[in-house]
Parts: sequence; C-alpha cells; structure tokens
Amino acid sequence: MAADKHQTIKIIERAKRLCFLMLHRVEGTPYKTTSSIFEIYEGLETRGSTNIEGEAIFRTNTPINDFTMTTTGSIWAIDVLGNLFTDTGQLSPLENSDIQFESINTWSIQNITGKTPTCIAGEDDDLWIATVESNLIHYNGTQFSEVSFTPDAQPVRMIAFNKHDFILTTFNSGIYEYDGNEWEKLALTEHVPDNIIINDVTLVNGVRYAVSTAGYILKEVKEGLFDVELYDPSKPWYACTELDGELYLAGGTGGAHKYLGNGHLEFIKQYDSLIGASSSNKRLFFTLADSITGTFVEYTPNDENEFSLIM
Amino acid sequence: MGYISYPRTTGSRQSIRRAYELYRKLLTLPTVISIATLEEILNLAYMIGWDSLPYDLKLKLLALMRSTQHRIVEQEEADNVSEMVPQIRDLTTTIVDLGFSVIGNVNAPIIESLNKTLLFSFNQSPPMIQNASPNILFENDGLTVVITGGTSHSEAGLANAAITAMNNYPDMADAIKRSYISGEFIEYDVLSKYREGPKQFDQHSQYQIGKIPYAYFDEHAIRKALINNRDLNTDENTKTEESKELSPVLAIEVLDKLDKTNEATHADSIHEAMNLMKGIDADKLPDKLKEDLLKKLHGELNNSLPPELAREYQPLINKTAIDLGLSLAKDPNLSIVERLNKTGIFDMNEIETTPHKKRLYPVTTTLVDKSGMVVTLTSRPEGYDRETKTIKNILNIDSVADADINAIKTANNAKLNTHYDALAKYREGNAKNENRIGMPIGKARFDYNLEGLPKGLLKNDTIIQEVLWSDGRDSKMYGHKSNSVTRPIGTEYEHVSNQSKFKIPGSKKIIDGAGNYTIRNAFTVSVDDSQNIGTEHRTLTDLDIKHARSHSDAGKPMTLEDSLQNTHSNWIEMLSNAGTLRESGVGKERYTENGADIIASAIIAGERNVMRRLDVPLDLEIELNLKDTKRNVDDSIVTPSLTGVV
Repeated sequence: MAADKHQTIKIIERAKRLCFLMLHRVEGTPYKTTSSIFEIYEGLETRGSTNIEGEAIFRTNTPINDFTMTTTGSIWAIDVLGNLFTDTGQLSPLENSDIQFESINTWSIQNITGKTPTCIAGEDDDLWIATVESNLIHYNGTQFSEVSFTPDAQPVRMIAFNKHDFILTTFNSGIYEYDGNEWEKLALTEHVPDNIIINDVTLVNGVRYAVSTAGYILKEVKEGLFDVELYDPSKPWYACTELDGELYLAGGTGGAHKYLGNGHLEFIKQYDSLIGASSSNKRLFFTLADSITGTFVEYTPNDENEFSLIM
Repeated sequence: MGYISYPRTTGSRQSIRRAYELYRKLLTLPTVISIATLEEILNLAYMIGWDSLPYDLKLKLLALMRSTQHRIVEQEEADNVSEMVPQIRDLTTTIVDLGFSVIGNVNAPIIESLNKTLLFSFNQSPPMIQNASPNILFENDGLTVVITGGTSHSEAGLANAAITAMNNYPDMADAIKRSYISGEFIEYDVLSKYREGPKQFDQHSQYQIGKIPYAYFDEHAIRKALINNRDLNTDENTKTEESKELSPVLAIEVLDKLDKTNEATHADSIHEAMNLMKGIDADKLPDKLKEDLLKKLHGELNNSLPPELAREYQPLINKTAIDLGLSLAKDPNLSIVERLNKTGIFDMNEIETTPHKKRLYPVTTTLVDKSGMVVTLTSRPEGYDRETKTIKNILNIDSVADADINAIKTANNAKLNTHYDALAKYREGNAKNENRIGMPIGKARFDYNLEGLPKGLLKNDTIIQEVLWSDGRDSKMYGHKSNSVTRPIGTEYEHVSNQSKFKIPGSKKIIDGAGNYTIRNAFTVSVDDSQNIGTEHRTLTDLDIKHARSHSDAGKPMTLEDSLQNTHSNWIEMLSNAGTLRESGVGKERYTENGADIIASAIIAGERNVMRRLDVPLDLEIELNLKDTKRNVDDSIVTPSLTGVV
C-alpha cells in the first residue's frame, strides 16, 4: 500500500544541512499518517540537474506536525500524539509502544504530553513546543516542564531568533515573546484588527515583521509594538523570511514577493500556491499547497527569477 | 372654491393661542351669522395646525364648529337663500380636516373612528350599485364627504363628483343633492398632509406612505392615488424602501380586484391584480393581511385559473404564496417546508430529486402541497442548472406518497411546477462574473447578507451549495466527477467528517453500522490545502485531532453527532479568525462570528443531509485513528530529485 499523496510542509537549511519534512498518505487514511524527514546532501547548485544526492533520514507511522533544526544542526520533530523525536539520542526510549520509526543514525523518541503539539523551535537545551490546546512546554536539555503561562488563542508558529529569543504567533492577532524569563504578549497599534491570524514573524536588519493571511504586513515600529505596514485584502501572506537584509513573502496563489519598504512590493514569481517560506544564507525555499507530489521550490535571488522544483 | 389646503403654520404655541381665540369666537357668535363673521372664523381656522393641539381642545372646537355649521345651514334654509355656500363648503372641509386630526393615526375603519367622536354620524354601509367605489361618507341630512387622494378643485369637478355619487348610490340621491345645494358636499383629500413637497395632488406626487394611517388603505380612491403611475419595481435587489412601503396598499388592492372578478371581467382583473402583486414585499404586510392574501392565493386562486392564465401567473402566485407563508412563520431555525406547514395553510411534503441515483449531493428539493401547488426550490436568479423535474429523478421513490407523485405529474404536464428562488431576498449586489477556478465554468458568484440569513434555510442542498459558492468554496460528493468544476490550485476537497473516522484501524474496511457510507460518496468542501502551518486544512486538522484526543483521553466514546458539533465550532473558529483569503477578491475578508456560523452551518447541514441519505446513524461511535499501525513506514519511500526549472 504505497502512499499516493505527498506534501512537503517545511524546509530548513542550517549548519550545512538541508532537511525537509514530508507527509504521506493513502486515500482515505488520516490526514497525515506517515511522515518522513529527508536530507539533501548535494546537487542543488547545478541547475537542471537531476542528480540530487539525498535520502529519507527518518520515517515514522505517525503524523508529524512540525520539526526544527538547531544552530548546531540537530533535528527535533513533534507529532500530533505528543511524541518528540530527535537525532541527538537525548531522549528516553519509548517502551511498549506501537509507534514505529526508522532512521539513518540513531534517533530517540519520548512521549512528552497528552496534548496535541502543533509547533516547535529551539536548541538542544532550550526547546519550546506549543500545543493546539494552548499549552507551552519547555525542555532544558534534561527535563520537560509545562509552563503556567498560556496564550489566549490557538498557537500557530514558534520561531527562534539568535538561539534563545522566541516568538510564538497565534490566532486573534497574538504575537508573544519569550525574553529568557517569561512570555509576554506584544502590543499592536489600534490599526491592527484583534482577530487576525498571525502566520509568521521574521527579523530584517534588526526590525521584526509579522504577516497574516488576512492581508497584513505588520512592522515593529518601536520595541514591542507592531503597526500596519501594508494592508491588501487580496494578498494572503502565509509566510515571510529574510535573506541578505531583504524581506521575502509567500502569498499563496498571489505568488512570491519581495518587500521593498514604504508600502512597495516587488512581484517575483508565481507557481501553484506558495504557503511557506524559509531561507539559508544564500537561497530561499517556498513550500507549495500541492499535496500530490511533495514538490517544493528553491529560489536564488538575482538568478533570472527561476524557480527550481525539488522532488 | 371649496378647498382649504393644509395650514402652513405649524408653530405649536401659536396654533394653541389661535385655537383659543377661535374657541372664544365660536362661543360668542351673534344670533345671526354674517358672511364676514364666517370668513373671520375660516381665516383663523386656516392658520391653525390641528395636529399640534391637545386632543380635548380639538374635540371642543370640532363640537362648536359642527353646531355653527348647523346654525348657518338652518339660517340659510330659513331665509331660503344660498349666499354662503362657498363658505359653508370651506367650513365643511375645515370640520372634516379637524375630524381626521381628532381621530389621529387609527387602524379602525375611517367611518367608525369619526363616528366615535360622537360629532359625526356617518352611515356604515350605504346601499350602492355594484362595483362602485365605497369611498363616500354620508350623514342623513348632513355631510357628504367624497374621500379622494386628490381633489378636482373646481365647481364643475365638484358637480361631477356629486352626479357620480348620485348615480352610484341611487337610494341616497336626494340626500346627496340636498347636501350639494347646502354646501355640505365636499371632496376631501385625505392624503394632502402625507404628500412630499407640494401638498396639491398631481400624478407624480410622492407620499410618506409609512405615516399614512393603515385604515385609509381600505378606501379605493386612496389606494388608487398611491398606486397611480407608480413604477412597480419587481426586482428584489433594487426595490426601494418607498416601493416596499406600498406593499399593504397593493395587497389590499389585489384582494379587492380578485374579490370583484366576475365572468365578464375575470381575465382583466386577474391581469391587473397580478401586475400589482409583483410589487408586494410580504414582510411589509401586517400578519392579518398576509394571511388573507395567502388564503386567497393558496385556496381560491390556486388551480382555478384557466390554463393560459395559469401558465402566465402560477409562478408569481406560487412565489408570492411562499413569500407570505415564510413571512408569517419566521422561526429562523425551521426549514422552508417546516415554516410553510406551520402557517396551517400549507400542507407540504419535501420530495428530493437527483439526476443520477448515485449522486446524493446536491439533490434538488420539490415542495408538493396538498392543494396541488408544486414548487421546486432553487437558489439562483436564473433557476438551477441541475434541477430535475421528472418522476424518474425522485430519490427514494418508494417512500413518496402516490398523491405527491400524481401532483408532480399533473403540475409537470401543465408546466406549473414552478421555481422558488429561496435566497432572493438575501442576495446583495449583482452577479460577479469572475470566472473563478473552483466555481463551475461560466457560473457567476453572488454575495449574500449572511448575518440576516435564517439558519433553517440551510437544510436544502441547493441553498447550502449556493451559500458556499458565495464564499468561493465548492461542495460535492468526494468521488463525484464533474466536468464543470475544476479543483482550484492549492485547494483540496476535504471530507467534512474525516474519513478515517469511518475506517477500521489499519484496514480499508468501513466500520460496522455506518450504513452505506463510503469514502467516495461522502460530503466534501474545498479548503485551502496543505498541512503547512496557518492554512485552512491544517487548522481544521489540528482542531479535529484535539477534539478526538480529548475524547480518547477521557475514555469517552465519540459519536458522529459529537463529531459534527465539534466540526461546526472548528469551522467557525477557523473562518472567523484564520479564515484565509483563497484568491484575490474572493470571499469575505474575514467573517463576523455570525457570518462564520452561517458558512459553518451550511457545511454541517450538507454533511447531515448526505449522512441521512447514506443511512449513517448520528449515534454511530467513531474514532479518529491517528497512527497507521499496520503500515510499514517504508511504504512512503520517495527519493528527492530536481524535477525541473520553471
């Protein structure tokens, strides 16, 4: 029974590793069923080449909701059942479980919560996980603890900056920051509606930007205060990322854009529906809504606006 | 001339001061009243705005003016002269003016209300010849008042009015003649003070219809003046408030015309009545009038028209009857058929039809009334392109009564199975021809007033489908292939109840007790695809998993009903908050909670309809299987590659 639908939902290139998370399913099975994390070793630099060297480094029979890579290149993944997976070998092995997984190298697994994790980010000794139930779980490298603070809306995305600074975005216009001590909700000006989903946050030249599929680009105008930078209800901004001091955006079927500042956008290219964005120090990746082939897009700025389709 | 236009002085304090002056004058009249004295009285009265006076003062003045009038008329008769006829007419008009101000905004018939002041004694129903307009108020040996929606303003016109009145009411001819000679015969323009702009009547006059006492509409002449030359706008979308306000006037006129039909005038009366009926907005009628008109349409008129008239007017009759029924029974949670039956006038069954036996969504609903009225529900102005009207298209024909089948056959043969566009009054603006992916090719999209849409309407598939289209969202049975609908980029037809809930874990088999459920004949709606964070599909997935886990953690079995209720609230949360914009310019930016509730209700209603047709019981125990324990993880092998450059 081979899977007939594949979807790549996240790509990370960091610490000289390029990994991506793919979900697989057969018609009529649960939404996400089995999951794989792939690693590409080389081949991306040669345009048009089919000789990409890479393989699945991890597979499991549960639906993985999110994964992250630390600054040292280790991988952490969280599934909907509350299991945490890592290639560091740091976790206590799970016993008497019907969870299957296969991996290159040694991975470990531990069930950490009865809740439903949705996003994860951090380092081997400073990991944050948020659940659909609005719980926040922290791992300090040896112990898990559920913090007493809960955001007042459903979590969407956990993002790590500079190793130990964290941002959590939520429904109802929530942007939460962890300052190393406690979680705090960041302020919005009166121009920002209080019921939009905040899909992503990124840092560009020391200034944080947040985006929403409701058509908003928000900018941090002073410490801890976001204002509307640009609003266009026809542009669903699913994700944003930074490369070489520039802000790039994934706008669904509206395509990829670069934000030039002062309310000006530069259209880059459209392919399928672009719903995720990430970057390394030299290129951008966009994930697609395409749920059949698992294809995603690589884009190197100033490269004749060509999208390379991977997978 | 026998006409006093309505006083221009409206200052309340001034009017009261003048009213007391008039009061004193009337109390101290000399034994013989001269023309000069009478004109003084009339001039003073002309300056008073009656409506700004206290009720008691009006009543006292009315009593004094009436006795003054008696004295003058007797004085002239005694002297056998008619020197003061023009002034007496003015006085009569002033008295009637004051009388109408005394009765104010009443809903009882005019005669009854005026007589209640004890200062008038109009006859209740003077004998008249057939078909005359009953718009004349008589007193024996007293006033004759022709109620008009405008006056002729001329001596000759008044004489003509008197002759017409004498002809129409032969028994009263002598009394009319006497009152004409004495100056007590007047035409009275009751609409004068409700006219916008110039108070004098002309055929383009506009009225403050909402302020006119309801009882006035009983008078044919008033209705005629109000309806006169009015552009009867029948387009639901662009009807003005003013034209809607005219609805009661139109409804009464329609009933009057239908009541007065006889064999000779039948067709003409029907044409006229039907033309007026197009302008009626059922919601603007008082309930009693709704009921009267509905009974007329449903009982007497339905199925009694000659074939050529029936073909022309049955759609309008059916539409108006259903509008009236829905307006009478407003319970927003009942379905259309439940509301209509609640009126006690309709006795309807819902018959579902489908072009293919295997297509269980969207099915078309036909309402069959015991009276023989047959109406097919649609949700588009142009009708419904998948409508099915033949007997062979009936779903579950075994459970349909023979009487209903025969009624459909009869209506179909006579071409009297009409459409009812159930969303007409909630539609906003014009068709948007966006050629959107996700919509059938060439099909325009409409916006709706979702806040005002009663949830009960969402029990019928065609309405569900249209409401979802308004959101740029298609709905269909999963396995149903439609050439006219393409899967939009970035979207997925999502099973409203996740299909894995109906499968035995690790197997392709459907769980026991799930009726005729299969993955392919289940109900799906299009969502922004991807399990990527922040998309519709991912949000719904996470919320569904959270619910399923809360059941399994608590050891509490989850029924289909539990799942449907939870899915409903998940959709509300997703739409009112994270509801993403699927494409530029499509769908609402973000829904209010009520608007989101309507879209979510439509989705769940579609799911319930399909589950019912598949015989899946709502108390079926289901669970969401979150891991595939039987599957080898190697099954998902794919190898990364570069597939091309675009």
